[in-house]
Amino acid sequence: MTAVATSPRIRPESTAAKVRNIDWVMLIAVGALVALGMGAVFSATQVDPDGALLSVGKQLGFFGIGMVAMAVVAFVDYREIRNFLGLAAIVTVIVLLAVLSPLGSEIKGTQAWFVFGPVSVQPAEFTKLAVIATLAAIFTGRSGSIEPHRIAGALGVLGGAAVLVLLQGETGSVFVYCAITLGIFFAAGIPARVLLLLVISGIGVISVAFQTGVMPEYARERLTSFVDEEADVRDTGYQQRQSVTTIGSGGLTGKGYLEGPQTQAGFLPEQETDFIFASWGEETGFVGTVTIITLEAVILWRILRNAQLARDGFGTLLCAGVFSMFLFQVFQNVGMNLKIMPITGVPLPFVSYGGSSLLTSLLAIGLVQSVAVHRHRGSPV
Amino acid sequence: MNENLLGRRLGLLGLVGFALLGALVARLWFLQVMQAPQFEQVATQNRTREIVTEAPRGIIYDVNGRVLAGRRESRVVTLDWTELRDFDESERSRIFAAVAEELNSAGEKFKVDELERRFERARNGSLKPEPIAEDISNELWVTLQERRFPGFNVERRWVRTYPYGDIGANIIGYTGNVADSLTADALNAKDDSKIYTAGDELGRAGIESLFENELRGVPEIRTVEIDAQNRVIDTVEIVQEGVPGSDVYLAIDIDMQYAAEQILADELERARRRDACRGCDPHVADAGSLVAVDVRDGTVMALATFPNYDPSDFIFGMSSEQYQSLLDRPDTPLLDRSIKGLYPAGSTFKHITAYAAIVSGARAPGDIWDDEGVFTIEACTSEEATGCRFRNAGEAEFGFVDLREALQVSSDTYFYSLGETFWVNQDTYGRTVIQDTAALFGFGTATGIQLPEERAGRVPTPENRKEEFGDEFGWFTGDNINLSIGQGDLLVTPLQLADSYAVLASGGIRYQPRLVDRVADPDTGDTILDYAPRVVSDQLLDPSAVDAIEAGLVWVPREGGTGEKAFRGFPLDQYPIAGKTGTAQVNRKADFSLFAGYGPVNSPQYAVAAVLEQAGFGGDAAAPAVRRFFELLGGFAPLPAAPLAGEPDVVFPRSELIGDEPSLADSAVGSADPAGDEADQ
Repeated sequence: MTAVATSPRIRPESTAAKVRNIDWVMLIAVGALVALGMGAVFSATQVDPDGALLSVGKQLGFFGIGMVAMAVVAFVDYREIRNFLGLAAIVTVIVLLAVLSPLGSEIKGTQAWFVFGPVSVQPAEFTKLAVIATLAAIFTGRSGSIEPHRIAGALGVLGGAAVLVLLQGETGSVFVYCAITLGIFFAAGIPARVLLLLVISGIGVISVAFQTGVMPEYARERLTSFVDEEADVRDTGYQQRQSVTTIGSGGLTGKGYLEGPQTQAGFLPEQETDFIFASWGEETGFVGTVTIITLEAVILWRILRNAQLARDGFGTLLCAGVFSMFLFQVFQNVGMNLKIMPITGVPLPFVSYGGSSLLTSLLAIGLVQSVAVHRHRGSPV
Repeated sequence: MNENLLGRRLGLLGLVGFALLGALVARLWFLQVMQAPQFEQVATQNRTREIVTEAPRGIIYDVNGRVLAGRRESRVVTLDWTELRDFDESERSRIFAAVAEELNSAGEKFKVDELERRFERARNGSLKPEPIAEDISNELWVTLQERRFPGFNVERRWVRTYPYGDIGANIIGYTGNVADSLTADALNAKDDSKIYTAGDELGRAGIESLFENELRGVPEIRTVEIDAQNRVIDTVEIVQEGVPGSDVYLAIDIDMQYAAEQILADELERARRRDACRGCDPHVADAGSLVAVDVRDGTVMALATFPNYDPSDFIFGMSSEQYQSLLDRPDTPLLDRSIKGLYPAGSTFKHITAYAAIVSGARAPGDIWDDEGVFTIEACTSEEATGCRFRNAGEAEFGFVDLREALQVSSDTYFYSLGETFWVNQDTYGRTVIQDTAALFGFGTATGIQLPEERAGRVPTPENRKEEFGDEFGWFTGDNINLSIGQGDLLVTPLQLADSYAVLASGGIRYQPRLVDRVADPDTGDTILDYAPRVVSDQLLDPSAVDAIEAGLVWVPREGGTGEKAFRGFPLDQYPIAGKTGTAQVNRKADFSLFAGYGPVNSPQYAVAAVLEQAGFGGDAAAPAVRRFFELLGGFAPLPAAPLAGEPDVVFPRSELIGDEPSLADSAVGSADPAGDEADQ
């Protein structure tokens, strides 16, 4: 394990060494998960065969772009990122504001999309990466210590991103930003009591937002329906009841791929995005769902391992941020499908249908790969 | 950053991840392995629905096979709220606005908030689609099928038709819809062989109600697989085959019924124009009844009541205001007066008193009574005391009369004296000789006609008065006197009155009035239930007493009789009629006009009774009505054909009713013969 780098000077390394350092296990797990995800999307959208091919086609397109982008990011030294953080922050803010203007579009109640012909892009997804990089940079200063102003700065970044995204009506992403922040704070070594205080005040802020109506009506409804099942049995409660029924009826080995009656008859709401896991669970059973969770777990394990092997603190914290993002998304999305978490529109990484999410996830893997690729030669894997 | 701390923190992050993913796997184990069978069951219920389709209702025919209650196909728009539950309010409003626009442009007046209201009501009600517009145009049907608004569907339903409008409505009755699932559950709790669901047709009055079980078909029950939009994907199983309802054939001829209703309405109209007697209340004459039965087997020839209603108004359900206004009308059109109207019989009751007198030996037909125009009770100490003196109607004095003359001129004092004699000498005659005779002729009990809610009327006795009003209301000579001429507490229905003359005509055979001839299989026409004539009582009357009474009654329509004017010009020699006028007094109302009789006397065929409320003397209003009906029965006047109210009904053979849907009747307009076009060129 190396000490946190104090010199920003970067020595270029040979391409051969870089390739040797690629985390192949993580890459294969990502590939497998994306493949399973495409299969799930196809099944969930095949009610309309043209729609299924279109959906899978779009997803494949994003996957292709994402793989190229991942490769580029992987082979660019992650330490260079710090030089562009200011620019990235400005661009992010401009884009997040632009989506609120008439340039952006409203889809399913959230003003969070840019629509380019058949493709829609959701800036709130990419903002996750900006948050990770910025926070990682904040806590890897020269002194290596955790001064209050760094915490304040980090919270400022979180707050800024959260407000901009909340204006779009995108609550799900805000929770992801919070998870990222918490993860990086934790990895950066912020004392447990400070973290506890932050979490408690965070909950306080959310409660106040909830009471005063800063939070959009639909988000409040979704969250309360989880707590109070009888509050609205027709809408949001209905979704989770269907989801649990669908998963449960899958049993040990499932109804067979493309054969899930609940999925194919359209009982599942949002079955190719938020509730893709339930659809998969119905058709492939316990075996299939555990496979997905195992693959996600392998990816998470590799990210954590790369965090440990990183040549510097920035790399470690980047990995910790990506880890927190994926862990929260997996737990939140699957938990929502299993009715142990409330409904928030958080996609299941690599599996849910959605180009922005897939692209963001692949870019995040690219970041981790970059950390892996640029670790010290000969470091153990 | 401290390396140990970093290592520990990353390790802890890993631990958190492991715990969270472990929790997910544990939950999955619970759902997919331990609870899988339960969820499997829920999912199956989720995907299948039981669809109950009402089978077509049986048809009601008249004796000549003419359709009195038919059925036709109606295209209706239904609202199924379950399809709309996943839409938010603004999306729903958009859909409602679009649907309202389509409905309005097709002439179905509908506001958006009306749709909202229906939606909210349905959401709190049943799962069954609720009809919101009936009998829609072909264009609207096609438009709605093409545009397919979520929640709004078009379907075909069978609905009743009543081709003759209000003719015979009191007999046929009408249907309503089962209001909601609670009502349906209550019906099914009694009998679930023909299960009801909300919105189903249900007989509410008349034959429709009494023969509900026969007319109603066995609904088809099928289990179908549906998708999340409630669209049927596949039929899983037909749980119960649908069977159309049986047809009911009435014994009545709709033309006869129509004629009776026309005559009744006419005579009421004439009574309204006729001046009332001096000092009498004006003739309101807004209601009445005319009833005719076949003396030989009890077949009902006509059962007219006025006013009547049009059962077609009930077909798509009546608004509660509409229904309430029908109920609130002072002339109560929903009341079938022929079997539920309760009237004092007046002098039409005198055949009963006469029969009691002869058979009991109180007075022989030939005995002479001196009618002084007024009758004073012997026991009265003072002649002027109220309740002591009973007068003839119109203060007439008839002098010496025997039974024949007493009936012919309607001498009241003749019968008053009998009423007194019976009561004063009750040791000899018994306490209830008049009442017992009345019971023998069918008064005081329902006739048993095949219609719901028939009234039994009332024959007052010292005993039932005591039961009803208490000990302090005793029975006095005056009560017997009132009863002797059909007044007092006596109440009879027009059908009972006609029946009592039928009993006299047949010498004691009393039939159950026969309204329904048979119930038949709609497919084969085979009889399922046969209603043969049924004798209720065959206690034969004393023939000499009958002859004596008849000898008086035949003179009523003749010269010097109270019905002379009404029957002037009627071929009595060819078709002699025995009958009796009645002018019943009702508190604070003009006299009720009654006539009852039978004919032809030598071999009696029909008994006819008429009651015209507040229409004056029996000989003025009721007797002409009965005379006119006898002209039809005797064939002396042509029988008019009952007119159709318009709407011809569509009756499909059974094979088209169940299973495959009948094709939409929008056949393309036939193009001109191309060969002809070519020939022109």
